[in-house]
Amino acid sequence: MTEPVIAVVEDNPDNRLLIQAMLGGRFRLVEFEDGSSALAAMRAEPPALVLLDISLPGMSGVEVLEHMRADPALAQLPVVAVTAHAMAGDRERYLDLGFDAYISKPIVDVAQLTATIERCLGAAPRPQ
Amino acid sequence: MALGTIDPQALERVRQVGGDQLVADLVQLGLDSIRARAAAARDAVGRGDAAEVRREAHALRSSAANVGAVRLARLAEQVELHADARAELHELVDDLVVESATVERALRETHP
Repeated sequence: MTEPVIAVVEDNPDNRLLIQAMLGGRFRLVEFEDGSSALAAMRAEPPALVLLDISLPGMSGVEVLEHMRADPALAQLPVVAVTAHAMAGDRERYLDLGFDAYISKPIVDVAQLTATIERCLGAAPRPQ
Repeated sequence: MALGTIDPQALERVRQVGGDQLVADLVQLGLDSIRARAAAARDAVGRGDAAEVRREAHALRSSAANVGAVRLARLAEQVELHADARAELHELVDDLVVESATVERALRETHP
């Protein structure tokens, strides 16, 4: 069986390395350093899920999400916010913005990351 | 309690994920990122570009946390929070640059 494709949108190479080490054996990862290139590539070949950093150069992660939700080809994709903001209430704020889940950096718990991804991949499609 | 330069538990967790090679690669990439982000934050302070200062400090905080540089991560957080306060910012970013160099020396000793 082919592994699900996960798009990792993250500008810090060290974070991409960690994510690759944690998930590379279970999923096929495609990596992007900024939101514009990620959107263009995902429109051509939508992944199964997106791990989306919030603080990106140029377009922020929240703006990338807004573009995705407005695009019929990408609107249904599960998107996990990945952020080092880690302030009180962040989780609720990002879920309210339309993210499907939230992971705080530094990512240290492989089991939690994998469980979050599996849960999002198995969830019912979002309402139109 | 005062924060040390490096919390060794952070890199031990990384070792459990991907062994010594992942630790070595992460230290190298992390130090590259920390050095570049600290310099970019200092340049952005000089230009009075608060948004860029905030973004560079945020990215630096993430890289610092990955390698267990707890004091540097805390300083980067302070820079993020005070990016609009010009009076305090110069001193905070100077501290950030100095601590970045301290972290690099500490990690070069343990991961040459």
